[in-house]
Amino acid sequence: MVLVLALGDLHIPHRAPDLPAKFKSMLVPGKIQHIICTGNLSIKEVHDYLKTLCPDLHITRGEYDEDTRYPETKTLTIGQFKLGLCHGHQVIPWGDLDSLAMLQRQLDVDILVTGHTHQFTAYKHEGGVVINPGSATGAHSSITYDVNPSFVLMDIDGLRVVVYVYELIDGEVKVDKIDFKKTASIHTAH
Amino acid sequence: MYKDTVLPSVLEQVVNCKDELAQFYLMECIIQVFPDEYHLQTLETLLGAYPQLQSTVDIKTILSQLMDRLSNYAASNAEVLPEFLQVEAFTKLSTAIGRVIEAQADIPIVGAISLHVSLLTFTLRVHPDRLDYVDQVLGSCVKKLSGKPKLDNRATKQVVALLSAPLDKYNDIVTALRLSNYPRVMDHLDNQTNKVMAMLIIQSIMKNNTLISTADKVEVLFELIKGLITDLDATTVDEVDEEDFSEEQNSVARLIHMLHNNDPEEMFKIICSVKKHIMRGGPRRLPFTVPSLIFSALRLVRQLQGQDGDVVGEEVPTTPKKIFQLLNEIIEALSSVSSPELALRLYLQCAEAANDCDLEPVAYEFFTEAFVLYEEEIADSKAQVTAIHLIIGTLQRMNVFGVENRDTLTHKATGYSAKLLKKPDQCRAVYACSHLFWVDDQDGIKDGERVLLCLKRALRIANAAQQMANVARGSSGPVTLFVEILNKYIYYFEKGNPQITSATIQGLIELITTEIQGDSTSALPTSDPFFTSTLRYIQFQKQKGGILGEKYESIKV
Repeated sequence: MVLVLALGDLHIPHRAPDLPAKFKSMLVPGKIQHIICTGNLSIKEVHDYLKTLCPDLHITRGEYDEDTRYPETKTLTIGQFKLGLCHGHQVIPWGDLDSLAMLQRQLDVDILVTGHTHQFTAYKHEGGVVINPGSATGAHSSITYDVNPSFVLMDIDGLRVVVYVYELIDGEVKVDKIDFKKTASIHTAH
Repeated sequence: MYKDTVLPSVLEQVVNCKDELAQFYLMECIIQVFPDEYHLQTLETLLGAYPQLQSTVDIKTILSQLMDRLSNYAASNAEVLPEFLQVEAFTKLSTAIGRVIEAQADIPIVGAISLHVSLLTFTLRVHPDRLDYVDQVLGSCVKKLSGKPKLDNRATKQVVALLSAPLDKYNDIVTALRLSNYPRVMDHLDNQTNKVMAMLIIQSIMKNNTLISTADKVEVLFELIKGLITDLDATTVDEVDEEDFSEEQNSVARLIHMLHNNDPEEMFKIICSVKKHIMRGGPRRLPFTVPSLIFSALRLVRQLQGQDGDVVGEEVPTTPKKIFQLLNEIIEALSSVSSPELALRLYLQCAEAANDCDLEPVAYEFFTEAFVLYEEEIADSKAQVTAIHLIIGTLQRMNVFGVENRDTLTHKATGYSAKLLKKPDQCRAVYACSHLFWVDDQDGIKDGERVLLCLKRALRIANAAQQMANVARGSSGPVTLFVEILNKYIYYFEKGNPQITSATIQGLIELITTEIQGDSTSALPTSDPFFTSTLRYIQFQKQKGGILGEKYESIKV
C-alpha cells in the first residue's frame, strides 16, 4: 500500500492566503510516501511546507511558479504504475480530454496527473487514467467557476489504484473514491 | 479593621523610617502578604503613601508588582470584576502612575514604558471592553515618548510588548484598529522594529482568519503596516535581506485576500484603497502585491457578472467596466517596472474575464496589451514559448470576438508561433493554433480548412526539423513531432473535419513508419512507444464499432 498525494494550483499568495485549515490538519507528515504536484504553488514557502509532509516531492512548472527551474513534464514509476505529471497550460485546448490523452500516450504512462483548470476530474479512457486534483486552495480560475478546494490521495496496491478525492464543500470535507485496475496487457514489454 | 487601623499605622511606620531599602522591602511585603481583596479596598490609601516615600525608592517596581497582582487576581476570578469598577481602580492607578512619572522626571524611558505595560495588562484583564481606557494608556505613553530621542533596545522591547498586548487579547484585529493612539505609538519605533510590529499585526489577522470589511478599516490597517508598504527611510533600501523582504511582501500579498466585503460597492472602495497604497510600493514591491489585488478585483467582476447594469439612485453603481479600467491602470504600472511576463499573464486573465462579461472592446484591448508586451519585452526563447501558448490557450476560449477582431488576433498568434526560435517549438505552437479554428461548442467556429492549413504548416516545419537534424547530426531526429501531428489529425478526423480523410491519416502513418525504418534497418515501428500507443488507439477505435469504428475501417495499422 503506497500513498501518493496529488495536489496543485494553490496559487499562494496571488489567489489564496493559505491551504484551508481542515486540509492542513489532515495533511500530517510521515503518512504519505510520495507527493506529486501539478504546479502553481507559487512561492518557495509552499515548496518547503510540502517538503515537510514528505521528502519525495515531485513538481512540474506552472505558469505562475516563482521557481522557473521545475520541469515541464515528469514521469515516475510507483509500484506497477507509471505516472506522468504536467501542469496542463501547455496542452491546448485547456482541459480537453483527447488532447490530454495524446500527452499520456507521449509520456507512455498509466496515470496522467495534470491541473490548470482547478476542476477535479478523473477519466478512464483507452490508454489509462487522467486525473486532475483541482485546486487545493479553491483558487480563482478563469476556466472554472465556483472552485471548491480539493486534492487527491492515491492508494497504489499491486495492479490496483484507489483514487480518493477530498473536496471542501460549504465548510465540510467530503470524500469520494474511484477504483482503477490495470490490466497487465496494456503495456507490452520492450 | 485592616483598612481603618492596620494599614494606616503600618504605612505611617514605613514612611517615618525614612530608610530607602527598608521602605522598598516593606512596601513589597505589604503587597505580597495581604490578600488582593484588601488591596483593592484600600487602593487609595496605599497609593497615597507612595509619593511620601524617599525619592530614591524604586516606586515603579512596587507599582508594577501591585498592578500585576491585581491583574492576576482579576484573571483568576471573574466575579470580583465589579469590585474593581466600584473602587475606580483604573483611574486611581493611572493617576498614581502619572504622578510617579512626573515626580521622577529623569527616570530612563524604559521604566516609564514598563509601567504603562503593567497598567495596560491590568486594563486588558479587568476592563477589556473599555477601549477608551486602553486608548488612554496608549495615549499617555505617546505623550511620554514624544520629544524623546531614539529608543534603546530595552525600551523598544517594552514598546513592542505594549503594542502586542492588545493584539493578543483581542483576537479580532478590528478592535485594535479602533485605538486611535495605536498608530501614534508605532510611529516612535525605529524602522526595523516598525516592520517587525507590522508583521505581527498581519500574522494576528491571518491566524485568526479575520476579515477586514470596510474601506475605512483598511485605511487604518495600511497606516499601521506602512513600514512594509513603502520605504519609510530612503537609506534602508540596500540593507534589506532578500529573503526577509520576500517574506514581508508575500505576507502583504496574503493579507490582501483578507480584505473583503460581500457588498460590491464597499468591496470596490476597498480595492481602490488597496490600489492607492500598493502603488506607492515602488518597483521592488509591485510584483508581489499587484497579482493579489488583480485577482481580488476579478472575483468582484465575477460577482457582478450576473447583475445587470441598472442605474439606481444618483450614484453610478460599480460595474465590471469600471473595474476593468482600474485593472488596466494597475497592470500598466506593473509592466513599467520590468515584470512583462507577469503582466502578460494578468492581461490575459482580464481578457478572459472581459469575454465572460461580453465586453468585446475591453477584451480586445487586453489582448493588444498582451501582444505588445510579447513583441517588445519578452526576449527569452523559453519565456516566449510559454507566453505564446498562454495567448493561444486564452484566445481559443474567446467567444466574444467578431470575425474581424478574431482574425487579426489569430493571425498574430499563428505568425508569432511560426517565428519561435527552435523548430520543434515552432511546430508545436503552430499545431496548437489549429485549435483556434475549431471550437467544439454548439456555436463554435469550425473552420476545417484553416485547421488543415495549420497542420500542414506544422508538418512542413517538422520536415525541416528532420532535415536540419540530418545535416547537423548525421542522423534523423526523433519522430515525435510527426507522431504528435498524427495525433492532431486523428483528433480532427474524429470531430468530423471534412478536410481530413482516412487517406490523409493513412499517408501520415506510412510516412512515420518510413522515417523510423529509415534510421536503421532493424528498427521496428514498435520501437517508438508513442507511435505504438497511437496505433493501438486507432485499433481500439476500430474495434469499438459504431460511427467512429466505421470511420477508421479503411485505415490499416
